[in-house]
Amino acid sequence: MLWTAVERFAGARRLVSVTGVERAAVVDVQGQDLERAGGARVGTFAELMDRRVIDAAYRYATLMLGNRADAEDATHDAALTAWRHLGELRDPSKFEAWFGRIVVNACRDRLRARRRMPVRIALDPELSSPDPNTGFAGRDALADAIRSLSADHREAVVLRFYADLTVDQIAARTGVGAGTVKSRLHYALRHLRAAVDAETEGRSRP
Amino acid sequence: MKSDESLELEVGASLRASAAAPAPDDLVARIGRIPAAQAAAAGAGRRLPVFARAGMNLAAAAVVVIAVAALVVMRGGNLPPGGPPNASPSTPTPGASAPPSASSACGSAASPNPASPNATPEAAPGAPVVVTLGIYSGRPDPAWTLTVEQAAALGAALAALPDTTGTPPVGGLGYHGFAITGPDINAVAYLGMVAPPGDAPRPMKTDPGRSIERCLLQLSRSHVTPGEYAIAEAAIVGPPPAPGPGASASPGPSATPAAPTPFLGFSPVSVTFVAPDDGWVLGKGTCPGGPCAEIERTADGGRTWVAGAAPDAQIFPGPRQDAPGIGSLRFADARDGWAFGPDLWSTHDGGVTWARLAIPGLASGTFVAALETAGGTVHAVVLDGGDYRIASSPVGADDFRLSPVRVPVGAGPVPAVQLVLSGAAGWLLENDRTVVAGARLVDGSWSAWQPPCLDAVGPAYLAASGPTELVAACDVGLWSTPTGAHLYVSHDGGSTFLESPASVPVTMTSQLAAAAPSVIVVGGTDATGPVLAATFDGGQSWAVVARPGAVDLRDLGFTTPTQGVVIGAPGDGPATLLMTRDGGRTWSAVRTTPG
Repeated sequence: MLWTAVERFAGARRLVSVTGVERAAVVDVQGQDLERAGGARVGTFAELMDRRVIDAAYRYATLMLGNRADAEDATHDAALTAWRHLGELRDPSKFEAWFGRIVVNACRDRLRARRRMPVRIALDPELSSPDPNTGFAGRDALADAIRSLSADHREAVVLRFYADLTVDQIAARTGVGAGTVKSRLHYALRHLRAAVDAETEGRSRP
Repeated sequence: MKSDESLELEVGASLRASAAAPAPDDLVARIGRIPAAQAAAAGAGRRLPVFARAGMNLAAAAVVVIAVAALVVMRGGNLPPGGPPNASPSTPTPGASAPPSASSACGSAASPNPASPNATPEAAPGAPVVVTLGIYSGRPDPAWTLTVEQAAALGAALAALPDTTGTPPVGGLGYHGFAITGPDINAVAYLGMVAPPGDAPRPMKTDPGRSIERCLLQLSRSHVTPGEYAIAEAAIVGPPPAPGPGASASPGPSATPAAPTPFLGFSPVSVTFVAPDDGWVLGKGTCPGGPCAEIERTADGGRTWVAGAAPDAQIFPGPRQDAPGIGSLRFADARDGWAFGPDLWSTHDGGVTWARLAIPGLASGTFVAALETAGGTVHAVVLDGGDYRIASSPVGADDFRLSPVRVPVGAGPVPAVQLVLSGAAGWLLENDRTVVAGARLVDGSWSAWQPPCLDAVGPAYLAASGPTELVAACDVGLWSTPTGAHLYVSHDGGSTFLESPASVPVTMTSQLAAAAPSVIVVGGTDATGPVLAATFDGGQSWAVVARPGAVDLRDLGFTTPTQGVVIGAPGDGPATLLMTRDGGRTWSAVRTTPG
């Protein structure tokens, strides 16, 4: 509840900041001298790329990539891409969805690079250790099962159940059809259910 | 077998648990530096790919940097078009033959090494190395471009440092290292380590003598303000020598202990007193699960403290807008108090129990940006859509009513609102880099008010010592041509202001308090770092009264004309409560832990 409110507030704040004079600055970002264009331009990028946006990108990348170093790199890559292409963003109020697509792609790039360079990447111990606060039967099995999903399926699951996007929004963000998103979610959930049910049964035996 | 819905809920919960950690501060800082680094690159005549390579080999990067320098030098010394504007006088001559060494990073040039296969000629010319002094949070850090020779010398010095693998420390507030970004380098030099950003163990360079930081400090001199330089210098090579006798008029700076050794695990973030003896400190404490809010209470003017109950909320310094929790504390009397920013909690039994409040009628939830209490009423500044609004309640009841007045949030990056009350009078002032708007409380109702310094191109800070006695300190020209802080005095409750003749001896203001119409204390920074400066004659003359050694000053205020408080937070380690009992002339550290 609180977070919904936070996000609503942040959205309002951003809309305020990109209306009027600053809007021109948002769109016209290329080829300007920092000294003269100065404050407005830096402030504008910082304004769009606020802590909440970075946190959301980083958390998504953590879930997709499984370790913090890669998540940091992917988030930074995405921010850099956003900066370079900020001039192509027509409607600054759509920044978040636009940047979300860049983040999705940055994570895919990392996953592809990982496939090309088959280095065993240890999961961050803090990420993979059981959460002492949850004490939730099946939670560990579930986390493991989520990590074992294919990248496409994990992407759909994270965007649906973590980022709370609708199927249509996921389709727009990942560049596939809504039918494909639905089928990915269906198969991913079936896989997760199997993993959790197996674990629960295993534990309920005396 | 679980239902679909419960499985989906569990999936969401599992994902949230796995992604609980927010982005590390240094990543946020690095992203914040992108515009400066990219603009510097664009200024050098081409777009520059900046690689964020977590596992980069710094030695290889150094070789590339050297090769870049060599290529440029071999082309007859052609500097990149629009290249580095500020060649430091200490820039070594290209081609000097002294072998590079870590200890002479600033004093010798690299030996050209054109044979490196890593140098890509297309990318080489014009790709600058940008250095950023990490010193702020919440506003851009100073950054500048190294000359080709400086970059080469730096690369050579880096290459000469021993390799290791580890997890370097990440700085907090205050000086937190020099970031070096360029076509083949992305690293932070901090505390004698030079490492790519990140928080996982990774290959890095050790630099026990901090030669890289010392070098970059030296090179920074012409690119940063004296205040910024002093903060970095104090962190890297130790505190500057104490000012000589006669440096300030009497009263002299009170000697605040450099390290008051606060209780481990409690760091005050906000302080409030309702009477000379009765006060509370909200701080960050250590709970089994991690940092948590703690409240200490004193009944003897800060000499002894007793732990009390605190809201079960996240704690951080100052009101924030991007995360739930609290960062400030105010009490009206011995019973009624509020912990807030952005959440709102109240107690009506002296802090024994706390309840979370929601102010009705707000479109986007309860986000408290400021709260003060006086004359039996508590006023909270809340965000409602794109506006600040004011909600007021009798102190003994949780009955907040919204005033119809709306103060639009400014267009700048960091809106900040101040609320100042004195008796039945009150003022709200919004800065967003510069003064944006205000509101005034007269006869129990708020209305729009034209604050001072609207055309100062800098922020203003308010304080009141009576319902008609209002003062403002304005950082005139901070965002154009800074001319320092100026004091403006009003004797009619803010309708008209007169500028005081003497300029305030700070370059940037952060806090203002008035003990009496003639006794005003400013918290800010001067060329040596953070200071408290005071006037005892209504602004005719000023003196520095304390150098708290803290980067961040909070909650500067007076309980009585003689007793006042301020919290000083250093760049690292716990913050300290400072108190004055002589009207602002001397300030000393106060222990805020039980016992």
